[in-house]
Amino acid sequence: MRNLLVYVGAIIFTLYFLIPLYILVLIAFSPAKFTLESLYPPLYFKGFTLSNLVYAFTQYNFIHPFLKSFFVASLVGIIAILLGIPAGYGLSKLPGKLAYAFIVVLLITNMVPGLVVAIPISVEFIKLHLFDSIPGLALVQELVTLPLAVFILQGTFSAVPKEVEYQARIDGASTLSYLSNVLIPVALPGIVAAFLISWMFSWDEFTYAVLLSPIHPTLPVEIYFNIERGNELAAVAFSLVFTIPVIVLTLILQKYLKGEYLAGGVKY
Amino acid sequence: MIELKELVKRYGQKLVLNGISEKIETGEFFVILGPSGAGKSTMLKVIAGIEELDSGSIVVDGKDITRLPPEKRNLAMVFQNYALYPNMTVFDNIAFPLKMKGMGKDKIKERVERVAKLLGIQELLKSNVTRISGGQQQRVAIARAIVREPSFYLLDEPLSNLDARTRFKARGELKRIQKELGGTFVYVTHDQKEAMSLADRIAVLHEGKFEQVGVPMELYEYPKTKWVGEFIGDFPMNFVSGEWLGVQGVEIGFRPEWVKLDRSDFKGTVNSMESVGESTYLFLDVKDVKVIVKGSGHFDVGDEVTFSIEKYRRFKDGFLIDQK
Amino acid sequence: MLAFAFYPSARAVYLSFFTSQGKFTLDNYKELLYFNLYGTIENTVILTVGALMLQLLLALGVSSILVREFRGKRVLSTISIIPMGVATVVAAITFSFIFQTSGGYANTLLHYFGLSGINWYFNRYLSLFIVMIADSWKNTPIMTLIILAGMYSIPRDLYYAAALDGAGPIKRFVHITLPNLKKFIAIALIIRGVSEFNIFALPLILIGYSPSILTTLAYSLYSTTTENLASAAAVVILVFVSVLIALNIKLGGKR
Ligand SMILES: Nc1ncnc2c1ncn2[C@@H]1O[C@H](COP(=O)(O)OP(=O)(O)OP(=O)(O)O)[C@@H](O)[C@H]1O
Ligand SMILES: [Mg+2]
Repeated sequence: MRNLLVYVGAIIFTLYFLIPLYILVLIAFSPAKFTLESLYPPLYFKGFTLSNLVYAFTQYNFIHPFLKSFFVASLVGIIAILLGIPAGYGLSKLPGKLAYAFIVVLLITNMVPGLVVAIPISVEFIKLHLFDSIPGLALVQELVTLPLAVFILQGTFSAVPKEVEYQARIDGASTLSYLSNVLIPVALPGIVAAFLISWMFSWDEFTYAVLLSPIHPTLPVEIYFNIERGNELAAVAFSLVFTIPVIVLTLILQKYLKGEYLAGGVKY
Repeated sequence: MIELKELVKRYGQKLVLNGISEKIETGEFFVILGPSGAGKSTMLKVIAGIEELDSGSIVVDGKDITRLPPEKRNLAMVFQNYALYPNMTVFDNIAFPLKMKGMGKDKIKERVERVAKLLGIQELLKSNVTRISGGQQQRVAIARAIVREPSFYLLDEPLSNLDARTRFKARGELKRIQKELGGTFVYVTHDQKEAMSLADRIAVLHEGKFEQVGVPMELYEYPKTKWVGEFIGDFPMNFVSGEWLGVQGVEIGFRPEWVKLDRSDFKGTVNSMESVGESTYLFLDVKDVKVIVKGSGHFDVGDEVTFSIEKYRRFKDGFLIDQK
Repeated sequence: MLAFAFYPSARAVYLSFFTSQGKFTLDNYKELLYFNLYGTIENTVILTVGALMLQLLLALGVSSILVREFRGKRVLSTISIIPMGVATVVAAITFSFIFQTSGGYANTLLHYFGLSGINWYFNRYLSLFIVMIADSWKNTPIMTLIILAGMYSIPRDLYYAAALDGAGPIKRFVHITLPNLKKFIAIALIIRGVSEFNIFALPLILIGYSPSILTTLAYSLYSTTTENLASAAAVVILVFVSVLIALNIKLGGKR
């Protein structure tokens, strides 16, 4: 009886999570007359076609936005890790109260509204020739991801007992070789999580992207522009290719996406 | 030889080490004994160089190491929680200090295997350190400490995470290893029994000072202060007014083992008791004072017991005034 | 890092008090009032609170299923994080197809049951509700991850003890699960709360500029009028977010 309830719940949630994706696939692979052009579009496949996709990829520029998104996201992930590791390590060594204060300040930065930052920055960026560029966008997105990455990393680093570091020092390791031989390997899952979350954030990011890189847009912005222009099928087709690799990635790296990392600062 | 000179260490306002001086001989098994929070770990950290001294100096074999960083002090340490590197196998854990020294691969392998054999963990070398038992982890930690033949060893309650039986076994083994290596061990514990069974000499740490340093028997027979008398021994030493034995102006201290029952000098009522092997320790009320005596056989609460004090020490203002 | 975030904020505040010719003025804020500022603020608050509650409820539901052992647990836990991999824009588009007034899939479903289609955007509450649903779909997974971590951190023994003390499933949830989850719920609400307030792409695509919320208002001002006016709107957002942050810190300090 108890189990029945669990299963009913499980099935409801499964449907809830999957139906929107199903609809997306349905529209992408059905002839338009069964989807966008009908008043009550059927909920199942009445016909199957690849022509929507073929049309979208041949008629519209897809590759450039895709690559731009990819490079920006990767750059965001890499910067987050490169800066986040030393910052997280430093924070994990500070006494509790001070570290807490820093984290609060970091998270405040993370919360400053994108629009507030983006509008004045766009002016500066034009001057600095960073407007519409990959590094420029990545740098600004770092505002949001870096604090989160530092937060996650300091959480994972703090979980490593300090005796292990003492031991490494006594065993003759310098700070650098402690980091590379012990701390980073031990904290690898947390590092992967920080990278992944930064990467996924950037891949998804819209506010900065639309304001600071509208001429050569990233993929989400390109999809939005297509919707605005009424090229809905192209938008759907792009959405699909945009989504599937990330879902696959998410599923493969699922074990790294744990709530513990996000709750990094929660201590008992 | 390790010379500790006037070591002082504060955490904020709290004075943890208040001028500690002592000489530890080469090859000695030196135990620092003290209750929880006495500053034992702090003491080791200071010697290891993990924490900085506020004042004082440490000289090892004539060389002042006070200002050296831990990696230059050529010592080994075993932490209470073993501090094994969780990302490495047993082999890599033991090999780590050698690697840091830049030793060649073949030499490392040979050394690690030799030490593993000494500790009986050859079979485990390929295992992940997170997947072995507590007793095995403790051996790995010791193996890692002895593999590089340091000038001395610091051990911070290395046995306290083991169950009673394993701990007992490990105690004997530790002593054997120390003798085999001829190493200088500075060993920290809060367990007086462990200290008594392992130590060549014991230093009792209390309120930031070594209250007494001596061989185990000396601490038991001639505790320098009342506090040491109460802390050392399976049961604390009893302290009563000197007038009990007709001595004026002093307190007398006697151990529960230092009485004879069924002698009519004193009379008490059994309040509670505790059996240890064949003996029974009786908690008596004698003239409004609580006294512990050792007896044997069967007793009940409320029984009247008579005893005499066969041996005692005299204390004045909390300090021993008898000489051995 | 801080300079990076605070300089632009300061600049936005500065810009908001000047005309495009560089003269000091309060007109930007006065002008904002013509753009239905109060209604916009109200919408934003409704959306933020509603979406947070919805996500929290869903996350609690999914997590309380996922802490149990049952066949298919792995499948559900995998499926439950899929929306995380779906970009916000994509989620927005998909939901816009579902809730289209003509040619939407939600109406098809109603049609099957013999009901007539609904104009999903006929008043602002319904419009906002649709944004909430879409947003919750996309963001429930991250909430679930945190809540689930919290649930796993509660020792099972507590439940056994409570069961032996005669507490039923609902009592156990109220008296054990919820109190022990407090910190995790707080973290989840902090992480989600402020980004919820800044939500932009989703409403932009789903409902456009009307009913407006603060972010879409600022964006439309940015693309149609002066930077100064847009900055004024941005400053309003900043004020609200600052209040939220201050609240967070205060609550955080209490923990
Ligand atoms: N990093 C620190 N900052 C502030 N106070 C500290 C610090 N480390 C230890 N202390 C304090 O110093 C005192 C001694 O601590 P220490 O860890 O040396 O005790 P210990 O004798 O090893 O105790 P135990 O048997 O519990 O391990 C304690 O009161 C402790 O609270
Ligand atoms: Mg200690």
